[in-house]
Amino acid sequence: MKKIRKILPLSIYDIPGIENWLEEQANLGLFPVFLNSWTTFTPTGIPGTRFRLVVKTGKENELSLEQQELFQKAGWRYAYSVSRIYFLFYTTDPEAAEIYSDLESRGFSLEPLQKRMISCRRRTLLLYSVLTAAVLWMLFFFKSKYDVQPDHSARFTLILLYLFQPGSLLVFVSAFWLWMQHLRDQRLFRRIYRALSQGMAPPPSKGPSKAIVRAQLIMAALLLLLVFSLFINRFDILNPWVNIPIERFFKPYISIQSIEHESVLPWEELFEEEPFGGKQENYAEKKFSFLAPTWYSVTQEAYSSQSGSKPNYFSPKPENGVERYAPDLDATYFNLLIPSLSRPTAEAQLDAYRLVNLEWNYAELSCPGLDFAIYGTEPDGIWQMLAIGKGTRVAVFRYAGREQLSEKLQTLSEAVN
Amino acid sequence: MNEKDRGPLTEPMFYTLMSFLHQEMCGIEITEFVAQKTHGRVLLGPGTLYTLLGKFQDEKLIEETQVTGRKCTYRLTVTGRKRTYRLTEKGRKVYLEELERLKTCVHDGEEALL
Repeated sequence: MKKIRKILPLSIYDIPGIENWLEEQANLGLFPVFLNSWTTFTPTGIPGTRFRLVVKTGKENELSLEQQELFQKAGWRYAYSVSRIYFLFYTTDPEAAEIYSDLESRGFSLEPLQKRMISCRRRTLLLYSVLTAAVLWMLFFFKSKYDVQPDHSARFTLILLYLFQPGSLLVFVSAFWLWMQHLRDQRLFRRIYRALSQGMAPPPSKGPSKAIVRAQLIMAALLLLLVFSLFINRFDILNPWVNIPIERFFKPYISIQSIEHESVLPWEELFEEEPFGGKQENYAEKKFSFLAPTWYSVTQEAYSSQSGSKPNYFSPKPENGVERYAPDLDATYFNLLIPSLSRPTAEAQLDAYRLVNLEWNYAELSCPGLDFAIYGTEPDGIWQMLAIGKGTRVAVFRYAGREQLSEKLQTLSEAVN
Repeated sequence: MNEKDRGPLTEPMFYTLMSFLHQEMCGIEITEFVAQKTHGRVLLGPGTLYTLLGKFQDEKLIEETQVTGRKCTYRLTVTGRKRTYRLTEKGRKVYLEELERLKTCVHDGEEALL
């Protein structure tokens, strides 16, 4: 049978409104076979049909035969259960007495739903409080046993950038919208419940609303977008913004060769084969935040073309008894929207790059033409970090190799010029 | 609405409680009793009846005495079962209080006419 789908243009708690709307649809020859935010009709409606929603008490999912018999005796037929809230009844008999003989009893019948809404509100509040507490604890109080220099507030600016990413904003906007809709529905339901319980007619429904239909459509679109973005984020292979091979990345970055004295080459070029396990060693990743319209990181690993002479723990005789020099450079580049975020962002990224089991020392370097340069070193001297900034541009480097980043300021400052 | 702020009984409430005064009743019997007693003036809609039965049970004005029929174990429901209720002492007290209130109303009304 042909099915017609319509968006419910009313709040699910606007009981008189929904009943009137269903009656209007019946007058158009449509009968609801599924009632929810997206309602399905078949062209079997009989003009003049009356519909009534009866709130579930919460104790039963289906009507008992005795109840069905009593409703039938009164001229009403049970259609089906509408989500977890209502039972839908209808009658084509204009003489059939109303399901509720008086307004008060209809008001009392809404009590279980009112109680459920209050308990749902409490549970939601509790859930959000627990979630917020857990997130705050993770961010500001969690201490890894390996972290020798924890600084809980250091990454705050970076978190702010992540919060202003389109995906995060989408989640917040959707949650806020849903919450607003929920509040609006609750207010409407409370007004209906209060009026009926006091024996007064419920406030008249505003009737079908285009705004509610639009809201449902936008919500569906947001949900689709959210699912799509989660899917893309879950599977990196589908995400065009991560693991971009460096040869196909055209944004400016500091090449590892430009800070090395000796010639270094990527693994593939040197050995003409893929690195171990096919792992990509030179790649870029793009990010976007409304606070950092330009935000990307580049990871580079290179190998000396000359064999070394020092055996290591894993390979006592690597390459016939020699070890090869292999420097590593990770860098993140930002162009921020707000200049005052530059230094905090640099410090946050330094903390994100920090190897937590090492004790780091930081020093300010002076370099003409730069707003700041923060140089981080660890006692063994293998790893170094450098953050530089000028105006809204920031670049943060983490390097493992023989060179001293402090001596390469001139070269590295090109990243922010 | 709580028991404390219930206020006077509504007409359907009063007649529903009245139906239990002399015997236990099930839903259909209550509807028939009220229609008969009021000569069709008060017709208890099925929604009203089940709302009131639930409310009275919550307030312990009536209690379930018998459930006939088979419980469907494959569902979280009691489809097919017929429930019978009786008035509790508390229910009788509430009924009598309401009766007294109505008598006072009638007395006051008649007195005002003199």
